[in-house]
Amino acid sequence: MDPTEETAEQLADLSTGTISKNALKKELKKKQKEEEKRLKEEEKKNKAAAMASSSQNQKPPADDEDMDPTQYYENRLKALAALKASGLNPYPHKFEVGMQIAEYIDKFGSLANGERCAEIISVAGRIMSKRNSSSKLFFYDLYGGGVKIQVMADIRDSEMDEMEFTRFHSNVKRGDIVGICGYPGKSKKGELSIFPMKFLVLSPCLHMMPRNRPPRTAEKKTPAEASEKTEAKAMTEPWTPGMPRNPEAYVLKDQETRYRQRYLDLMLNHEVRNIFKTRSKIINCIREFLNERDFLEVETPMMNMIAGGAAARPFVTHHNELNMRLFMRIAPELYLKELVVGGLDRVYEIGKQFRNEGIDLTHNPEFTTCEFYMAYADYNDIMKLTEDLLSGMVKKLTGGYKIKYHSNGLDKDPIEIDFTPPFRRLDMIQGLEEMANLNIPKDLSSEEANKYLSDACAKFDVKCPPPQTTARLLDKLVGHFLEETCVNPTFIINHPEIMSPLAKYHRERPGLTERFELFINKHELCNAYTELNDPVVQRQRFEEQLKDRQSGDDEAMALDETFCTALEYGLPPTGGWGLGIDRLAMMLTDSQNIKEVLLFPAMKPQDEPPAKPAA
Amino acid sequence: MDALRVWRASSQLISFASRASTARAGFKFNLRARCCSSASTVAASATATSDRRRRNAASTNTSDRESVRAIRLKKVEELRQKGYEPYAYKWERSHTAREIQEGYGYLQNGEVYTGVSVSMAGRIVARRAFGKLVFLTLRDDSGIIQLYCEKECLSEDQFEKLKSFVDIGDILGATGSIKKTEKGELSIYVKNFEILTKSLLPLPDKYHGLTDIDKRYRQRYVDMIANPEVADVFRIRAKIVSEIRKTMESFGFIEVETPVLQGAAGGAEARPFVTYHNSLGRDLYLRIATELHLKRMLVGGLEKVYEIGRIFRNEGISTRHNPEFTSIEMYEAYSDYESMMNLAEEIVTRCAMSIHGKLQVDYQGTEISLVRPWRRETMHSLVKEATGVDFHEFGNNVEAAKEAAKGIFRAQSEGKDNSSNLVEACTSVGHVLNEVFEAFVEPTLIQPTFVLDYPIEISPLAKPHRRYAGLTERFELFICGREIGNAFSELTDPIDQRSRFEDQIKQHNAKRAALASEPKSSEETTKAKDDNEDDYEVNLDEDFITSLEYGMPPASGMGLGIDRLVMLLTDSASIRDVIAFPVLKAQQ
Repeated sequence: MDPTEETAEQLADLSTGTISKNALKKELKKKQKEEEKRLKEEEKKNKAAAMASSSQNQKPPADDEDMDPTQYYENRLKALAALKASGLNPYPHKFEVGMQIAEYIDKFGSLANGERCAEIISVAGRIMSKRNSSSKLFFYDLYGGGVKIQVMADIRDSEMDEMEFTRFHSNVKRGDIVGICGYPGKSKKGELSIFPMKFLVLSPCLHMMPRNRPPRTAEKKTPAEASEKTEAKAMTEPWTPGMPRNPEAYVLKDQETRYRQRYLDLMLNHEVRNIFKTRSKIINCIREFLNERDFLEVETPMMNMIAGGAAARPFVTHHNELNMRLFMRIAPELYLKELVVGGLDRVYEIGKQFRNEGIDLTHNPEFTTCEFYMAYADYNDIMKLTEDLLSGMVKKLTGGYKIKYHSNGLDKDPIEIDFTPPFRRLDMIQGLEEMANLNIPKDLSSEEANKYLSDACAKFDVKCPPPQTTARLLDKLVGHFLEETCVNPTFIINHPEIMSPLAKYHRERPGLTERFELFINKHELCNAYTELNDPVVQRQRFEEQLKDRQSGDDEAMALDETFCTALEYGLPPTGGWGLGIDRLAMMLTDSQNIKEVLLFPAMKPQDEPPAKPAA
Repeated sequence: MDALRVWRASSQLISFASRASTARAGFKFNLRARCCSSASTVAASATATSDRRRRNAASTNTSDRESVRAIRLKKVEELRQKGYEPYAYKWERSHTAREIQEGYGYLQNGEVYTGVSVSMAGRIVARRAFGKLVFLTLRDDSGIIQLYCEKECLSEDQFEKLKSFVDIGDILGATGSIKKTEKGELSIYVKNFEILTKSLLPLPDKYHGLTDIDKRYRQRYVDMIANPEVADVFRIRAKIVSEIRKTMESFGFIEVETPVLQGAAGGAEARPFVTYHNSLGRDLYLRIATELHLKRMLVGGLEKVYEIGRIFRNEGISTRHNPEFTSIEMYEAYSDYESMMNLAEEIVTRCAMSIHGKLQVDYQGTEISLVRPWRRETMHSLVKEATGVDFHEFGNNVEAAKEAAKGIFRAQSEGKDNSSNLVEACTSVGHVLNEVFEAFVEPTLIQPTFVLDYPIEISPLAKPHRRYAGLTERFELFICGREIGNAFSELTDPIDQRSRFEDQIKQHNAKRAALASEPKSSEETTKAKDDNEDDYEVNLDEDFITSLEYGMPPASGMGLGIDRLVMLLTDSASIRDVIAFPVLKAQQ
């Protein structure tokens, strides 16, 4: 079916909701006729315009790729203006797509070499490569949904006459979004193709697309063949989660451009879309897992009067009409626990957190977490859930429990990370004492303990910038001795109270808490505990944090009075859990930089507007 | 259904409380007796809290609360001395209250069923004590169940512990068999119980809790404990969001996340929140829409994308506005605004079906019919219908349009007309039309209506209409007089887009300049300059234009306000009823 006709029909549907059927039909016919008339006129104009613009653009297109990008852009703008001046809309409103390209491949991939169908199919996508073999035959690669087919525009199939055909196709550029109605078939070499009868530019690409050109020596063959080969090679093994990646082999390599203009990254590096699909799948997996277990997804405020629930520097903003200072949340923890107090026994939230910190390989000022709270559960239950969730997810996304990860940089071989449950458990203090051969004083809040740990840091040359609170000293030692050993998923458990102001005191071991952190590839992925629900103890802990704050640790937690009051109404025994989704996405996509898994990572301001990509 | 049941259960509680006044008296006596026995503690804590009390203007309410708190803190101590942890670590539940109610409702009055050992946990919301028998009402996430605690049946000294340590508000775990009382109340025949969390504060009085609206929002957890039906709104909210996601996924859309913190806030006309990033050393804006970033995804070749997320606007608060709210925006390549109308109908009706099982929805006493297809009418003809004026006739003659609009305002508002300023400030016929539309048509659009073909001047991101010059292919969806959705065939022409943005900025700056230069005598200036709603900067998102220059496929997109949809489907009058923790004025 001619998609333009269909459009006309659909158009006629608008604003006729109340008219009777007959009137509707009449109206439809009338509009359809009008539309057909209009289209015919437009086509006439189209031809005229094609003539006009081609006469302006005398240079054959083969030289385009060697042109200066600014010159190229100017030329395209001129051609666009000429089209508009001729009364033609270079940005059509609608093109009816009959089939996704992936579907097309499914349906016609099994045709024999040289075979053609009589059926007319309409597809649309972006032209990513163009080869003209003569003025009567043009080859294109058409991409849509991450896959491609070849377009073999042959004058014999086209509705245009020869002159028109040549002019039209000489103005179709790499990067243009086009719609095609034509016959499915395979080239003699076996390349799945479409043979266009109609060929429309839906949205022209005004910039020269960056491209990856190997030294030209290898290109002695016909352009069509050469291109077919390189593309085919790139497409042989599509990336799937858990497999190693090599961004250095991308068509667009420049990191700045990739992150600042993600649309180019997505256009040119076909693998990239799968990273974000994987990210989306990870989040869906978590949602499914929690929904199956009767957790309720909720939304808590991102702007608060107090930034609580974690220790970090918050973003500050101001509400004008209320004349109120607000902080962007650093964690949803306190609000979620308030909801458990309110009787929602199992809640979770997947959302953004904001921390006013530096940007590096694992930190972005806004990042996504999942936190859940489960009444009547403790940290042992949560560890089990964590194992089930993560190993199940890895199995589902990758087909096995083991993934490849370039832990030591792209130039070294990737390591293997094994998610087979159960995960290793490592007691923090015991583990540290064993591995570093220490005998840490039992009372960790004592001066003696502080002195002992400070000496230990000095002895092992573990740096701890001031303030050297006991919590910070311990953290550095644990980082040095324990976390380094956690390549496969490992729970570091039973943190001391001084490090964990919101975790419940251990039921058997005084001074410690029922807390765990999950480390994978030496990075913290989860943090969870049996929640502290004794309001008196909670207030004491906040007071101790205040002391740390006064001693210069500006990352100590602030007291939230509303939260403490909520605890006084009674929080059931509860297990709580937080997971960094960006970091998990990094592991499963073999990304060493958090920017790889954020569509629009925070970047330093640029002096110049990002108008031109680095070619 | 659930909502109804829980509500009924809780209303039973009320009537029960008033009926069983003797039992209540008994409880009060109990409390008083305990007060006496621990008189010293009360005295001690009274001095400790006297400071706090003074601050709270020593209302009787507060002092009651403080003495309860002191008594219960004492109980915490005593429990610990006896070797019980008043804040337990864990409880293994076998059943929820609803599962018991549904599974064993068939028992005869007076029948005991020992074939199953059940383990429950929840909050004690009512309590009656008679000699050797205590009835507790336990509420969990799913509903309520009675705990039947008989002295002989409980192990060891548990009955004494129950009588002296368990208060309303405590979280309890209980195990036992099942019994339907002589009066027909399905109960747990308790063998063993454990205090899981000792509560320190008395539960709010139901009637009081209902009237103190401000407190309801400030302490949502108290609201939820006192009014279990409040939690149902959030359960429905979760279900709606989940239904929307399912719908989107079923149409092949993929969910993405775009940044909240942006260098320039675009995609809508609204005052943004500003913040400062220390290490980058620059101001950042909180997003006011997700539009411009999602469209970049279309450029990048993701053909169907959506994002459900928080949007921030630095505006006043009202029953319809919260500074942060949740929207879904969706974009689809190769479609136009008509596809979006179908998608809007699809999403809203699927949500209504999953919540209510039907398409007739009661909203604040009005029946809304969501049966498809919904009314589709152009903005011009709706205005003509309401006012008799056809704005097509004015062409580009702004002055004529203004005169006509002023006439309409005078006629319809009977002299009490303070909107002539609004009309006067309009810079185009489209703006005038919009003022008239907002004033006289919007409130009348009760049943779902797609308002089509907005003027180009007020639609900077929409594609020009394929047939009518001066209009765009845009619609807004109205239900109950409120805008629920906004959609268009997306503008894909970078040249046109740039000039629209530039016009928008010019208009905005003109307004700003006008505000700044307004004479002191005007009433407006009594407000701080800061308060002028247009006094903020608008920047052009250059990179977005650049992305369009790389070519965006013809596409359409739509934004839906999730909070407003939830309001509609939960019959909530205020947006604060559907946001767990709404922004409120700072407390004095």
